[in-house]
Amino acid sequence: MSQYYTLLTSLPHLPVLDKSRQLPISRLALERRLSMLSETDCAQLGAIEALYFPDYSVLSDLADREVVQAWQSALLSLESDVLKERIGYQLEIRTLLAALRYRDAGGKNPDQFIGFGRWHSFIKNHWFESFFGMDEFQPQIQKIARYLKENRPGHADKLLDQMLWQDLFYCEKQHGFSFSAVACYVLRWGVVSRYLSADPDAALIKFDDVTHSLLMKTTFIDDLNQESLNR
Amino acid sequence: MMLGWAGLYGPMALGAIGSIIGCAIAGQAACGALLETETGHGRYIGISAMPSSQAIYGIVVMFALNRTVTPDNAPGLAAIGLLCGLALLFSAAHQGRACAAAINVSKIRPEIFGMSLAPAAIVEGFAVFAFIFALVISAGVPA
Repeated sequence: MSQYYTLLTSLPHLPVLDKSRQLPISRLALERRLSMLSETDCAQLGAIEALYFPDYSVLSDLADREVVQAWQSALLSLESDVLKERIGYQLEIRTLLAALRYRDAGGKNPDQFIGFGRWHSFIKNHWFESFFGMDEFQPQIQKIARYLKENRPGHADKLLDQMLWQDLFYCEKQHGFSFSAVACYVLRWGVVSRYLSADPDAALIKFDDVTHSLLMKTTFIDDLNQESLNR
Repeated sequence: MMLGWAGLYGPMALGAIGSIIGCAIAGQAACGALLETETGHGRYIGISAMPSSQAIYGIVVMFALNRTVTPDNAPGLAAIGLLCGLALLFSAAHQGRACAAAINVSKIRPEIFGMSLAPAAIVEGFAVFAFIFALVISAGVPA
């Protein structure tokens, strides 16, 4: 319990996703700070990250039912109810988006769809409605679905990351100095990392910065300037 | 009689326990902030010492209550001493949390340093209430 005070105040502020230009702390430095956690907490954090940011190469080898079973058993191994809820929410969004894509790909039989969470049976019961009858209470996800339909996966990813970032941010602030807050921070860090690696504008700025700093370290830029003067 | 003695030493002991908890919490937060910031280290350490005042209030109340313990004054000493001590304990422990939160936010935005201390100052205010009224009431306990 006591180490969470030191750990959380030692972590740099993660700005709002839109304003993020680079990660305020590298993975290496983050892991060095996280070494303050106990072994149990580290194991829990590892399981949480594996659930939140799954390895898609592993998932693609499994059937839907196996994936859902793996999620359920992994969630059961978590101690924190708060984190179970937050991760469950993310898995529910993934279920909803998977249902939309499955249906758009020609899936006519809702009974064949396997999903996770509270919305699973609701989705099956409203399979033939435009957004499974969830337009009213999930407008943001509906927007993501629209982007996917318009073949704009970049925008869909961006909006999904913003939703998840906010969800984790509020959870972190509600739970003060606790393991839940640490886990939410690490997950937010992961969301920012994914967002930045997928953002072409940020990548361009980063590329320019790195190029500029490298050029400044060499005499190459002076040679170029000299050459242009000679001409 | 034993409760009377507990009431006599209670404000000091409970206040000190609260200060230990509060200063430890705020101190741990300050240590974390030292890792993350380049400047302003002094004020983080300063804030982490804020919950120590409750131990001082406890000492003053103990001296105010200090008298020969008799069957007549033992219940009064116990009531004032233990209740005041509990108030000091809780206020110090929770002030430590408020200080930790202040350190955490002022690390991100140093310009709100003063404002972020308001919750800790309000908690201090309640500790002062408990302290002052314990002194006032102690005058009525028979010597």
